[in-house]
Amino acid sequence: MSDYFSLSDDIIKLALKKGADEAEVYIEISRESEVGTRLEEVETLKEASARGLGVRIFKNKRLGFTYSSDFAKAHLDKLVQSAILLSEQTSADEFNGLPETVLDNSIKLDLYDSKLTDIELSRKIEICKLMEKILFSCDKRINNSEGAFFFDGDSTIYIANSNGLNHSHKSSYCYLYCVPVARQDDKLQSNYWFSLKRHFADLDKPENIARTAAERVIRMLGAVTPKTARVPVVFDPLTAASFIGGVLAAINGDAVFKRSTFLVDKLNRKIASSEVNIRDDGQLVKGLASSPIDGEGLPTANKEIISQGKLITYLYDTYTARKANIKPTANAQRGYSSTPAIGGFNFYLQAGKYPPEEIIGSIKSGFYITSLMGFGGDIVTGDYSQGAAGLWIENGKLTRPVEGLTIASNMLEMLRNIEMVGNDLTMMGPISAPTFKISEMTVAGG
Amino acid sequence: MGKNIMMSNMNTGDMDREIDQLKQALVPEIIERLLAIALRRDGDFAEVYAEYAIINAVELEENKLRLAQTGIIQGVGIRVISGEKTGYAYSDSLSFDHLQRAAQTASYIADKSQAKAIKAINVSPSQTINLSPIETYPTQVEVKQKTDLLWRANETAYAADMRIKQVSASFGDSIKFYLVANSHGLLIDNKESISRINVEVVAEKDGRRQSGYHGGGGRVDFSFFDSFTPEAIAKEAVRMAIIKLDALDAPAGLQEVVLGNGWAGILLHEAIGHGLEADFNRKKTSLYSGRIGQKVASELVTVVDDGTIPNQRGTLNIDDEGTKTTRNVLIEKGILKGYLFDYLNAQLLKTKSTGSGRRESYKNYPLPRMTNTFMTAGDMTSDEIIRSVKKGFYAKSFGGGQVDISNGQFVFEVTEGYLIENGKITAPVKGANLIGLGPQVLEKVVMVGNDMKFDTGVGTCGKNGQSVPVGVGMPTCKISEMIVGGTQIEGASMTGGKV
Repeated sequence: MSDYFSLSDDIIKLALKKGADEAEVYIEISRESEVGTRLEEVETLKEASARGLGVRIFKNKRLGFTYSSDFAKAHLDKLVQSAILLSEQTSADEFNGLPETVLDNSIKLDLYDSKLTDIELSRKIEICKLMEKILFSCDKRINNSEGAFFFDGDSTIYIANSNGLNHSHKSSYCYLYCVPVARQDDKLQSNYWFSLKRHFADLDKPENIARTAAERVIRMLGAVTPKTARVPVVFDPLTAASFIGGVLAAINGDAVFKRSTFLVDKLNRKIASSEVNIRDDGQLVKGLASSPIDGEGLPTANKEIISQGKLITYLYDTYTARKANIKPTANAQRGYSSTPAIGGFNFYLQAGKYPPEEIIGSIKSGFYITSLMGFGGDIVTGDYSQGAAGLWIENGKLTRPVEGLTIASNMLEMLRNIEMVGNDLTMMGPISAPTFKISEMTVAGG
Repeated sequence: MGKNIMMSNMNTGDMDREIDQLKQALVPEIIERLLAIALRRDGDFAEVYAEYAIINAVELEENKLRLAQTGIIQGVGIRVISGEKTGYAYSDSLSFDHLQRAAQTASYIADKSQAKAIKAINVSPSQTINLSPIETYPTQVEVKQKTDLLWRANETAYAADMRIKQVSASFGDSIKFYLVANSHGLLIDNKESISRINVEVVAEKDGRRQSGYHGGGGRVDFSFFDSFTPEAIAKEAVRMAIIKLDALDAPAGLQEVVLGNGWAGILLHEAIGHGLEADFNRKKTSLYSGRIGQKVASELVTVVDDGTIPNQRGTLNIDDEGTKTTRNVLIEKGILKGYLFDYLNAQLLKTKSTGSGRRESYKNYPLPRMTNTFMTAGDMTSDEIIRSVKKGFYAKSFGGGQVDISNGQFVFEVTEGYLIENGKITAPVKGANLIGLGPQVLEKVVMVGNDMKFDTGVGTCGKNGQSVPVGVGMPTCKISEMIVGGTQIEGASMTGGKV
């Protein structure tokens, strides 16, 4: 560990000696493993480790950035030299520079499972085989599979800069995933379910993952495309999270500055219904997107983004915060091969008060969405149009499967029309949401 | 459509030295030893893939040259195949110890528990034919020459219209050198260059904002940007943004649809291309499984995937398994002719690779992928096609798309669309998606234009987490009906309400 700190220190010193005013080194050491079975036989095994290093320098308020996976001394010297030369090609910008704050390193987020590497390959294979075995036993129409997978890995981050920052932390992940394929009347449907956690012990039971995947694929068999209509729409937690991801993109402080988001000029204004409360939490214990620090070394926070429909803050990194003349919200994200960019940590719509059945029960005729397709959210205008599939709601009950539909509206209108928010929030990934209902959207079909 | 930009600036002298070092770390004797170690547990096939890449980017935003960056990627991936099973390991270190460990790790896929004596393997070098000769690699030119392109685009865009409030421009280029060797004795290496310019603008009028995008490139010489100029690109981006400012909301529901030529080929990529990748068909999870020789599209439709077209973004001299790329007819006059094969799937289905084994980097094992996918030209003019439509939707430019392999549903985003009324293109509309079922939509192709054109070189395709550059192409073409996903409903429709 100290080796990488002394390496960083050497690089920073060299950069300053070569004329940089400020320098930062970001190192990432990672391990990944993949086990895949298909039809209960092993199909893929992958195991590897890798490392990489990024050097970011400022000289006369100009930015230069280089990265490499080669840690040889002569090569690193060239990398520093090259970053300084590149900085001469960029524009001076008074807001450029490293953050001044130095981290309070005390926070423990329990992001690393030291027992993960002890799990035998044979056990991982067993788990994958078990998921597929359960899939096939659930329903005889499930007669094929794209496979079952166990991915895990870890990464150690070192970040050091010429303002005295020296930080390192380690995190791990494990991911179970299976993809059943079912057939009925010569038509195929595939679907999936998963569990993603920091710690192995926290993963959902493979049996339950498989049963959920099986249920998701079976209920889509025989799907039809109904006629075009304007109806109430319910997003299940997975598709709800996808929509909330659009909100995250729209509150990016850089986009706000460039006026290239539909949420520009909306700070401290009501942009959503009072049911909507969104938080961004970098410090959630065991959180899938938690980190003690952001990509520039600032301590992360747990903050309100939207409170009872009112937009409380945009997200900023050091550069955009200086430009906006406010405190950074510590939302810089990065890997070793990129400069910091604004992003969220555990970004989620808070649970509301309604059980999902009550939300569905409130609708006479409507669309319960379980999957979205395409790239139809325009952050600049808020125009929203996506391919969608799911189940049709009739008289308060989920009835027949539907597919081949698109849903369209404007994201601002959608936020304002969120009528009911479910009490079923679980943290499934970096972005999470409970079930919610939008009072009306255009659902285009046949 | 991935718009993330990459960049770097090392000079090519450095690059040649680094490539030499890579080759020295992987001389034939070393490769032969690694392959032998990889096969010690009786695997059927072993492969060494070594890569060195330089990736550069420059970005201009808000009238400032914000970023200039350069990156190096280097590493070796070792693959072992045993029956249907794949073992994979990689190392970013070139030391023999690390490579040996990777070979051992990959070897475990073959489940013979007893390590066998090492079998001798001999590799012999073969030559690559360069399909996209380049005199001046974009990666080789001074950074300033690239930033000049961005400043020119920036100036043109702001000058083009008072309503333009933001301009972002970027240039990315990379050179990737790779060497592939395998237990059949292959040893081949290849160098591929790729570059791309992007211009994005935001226009504002009466508090309404719209963005416009244009860009492109390919496996081209830097002089390509003398004719594909930043001025022309900027003007096109501005034109799109300004048109959208006054666009109507898109119609919703079934419409007669005319697709513009070029990037509309993303329809083929999504509607049928992925479904013909051999892995899905071997596993029988694609709706096109077992349908060779059957009619899957209208007889006007011939679809080709061709990795050999000079300078196209999806072109490769050899694929990432060292197989020469080819021209593959996928659909001929509506009849399904073939799939896209990598080595593994070709082996299992007892046929030959079509040169379609691609991977994002040494960290990934190859998968069957598309290269440049296009529909061949028909004989109608685009005017004739538009004139034939009484009431419909003209989709001129597109954004990204996605497909579900099993049920065939695909969707793609329209970034520039118009209404067609009485044979004429009329009002611009915004915010539409097109959705359909692959075989149904291809069956409904009723007119094909004579104006087949490739996209400008902007496509990036994702599959199983791996991104690779691709090209698409399409003549203007009419689809008798397709679902347009807008917000505006005409005439009678059903509405729902609360219980």
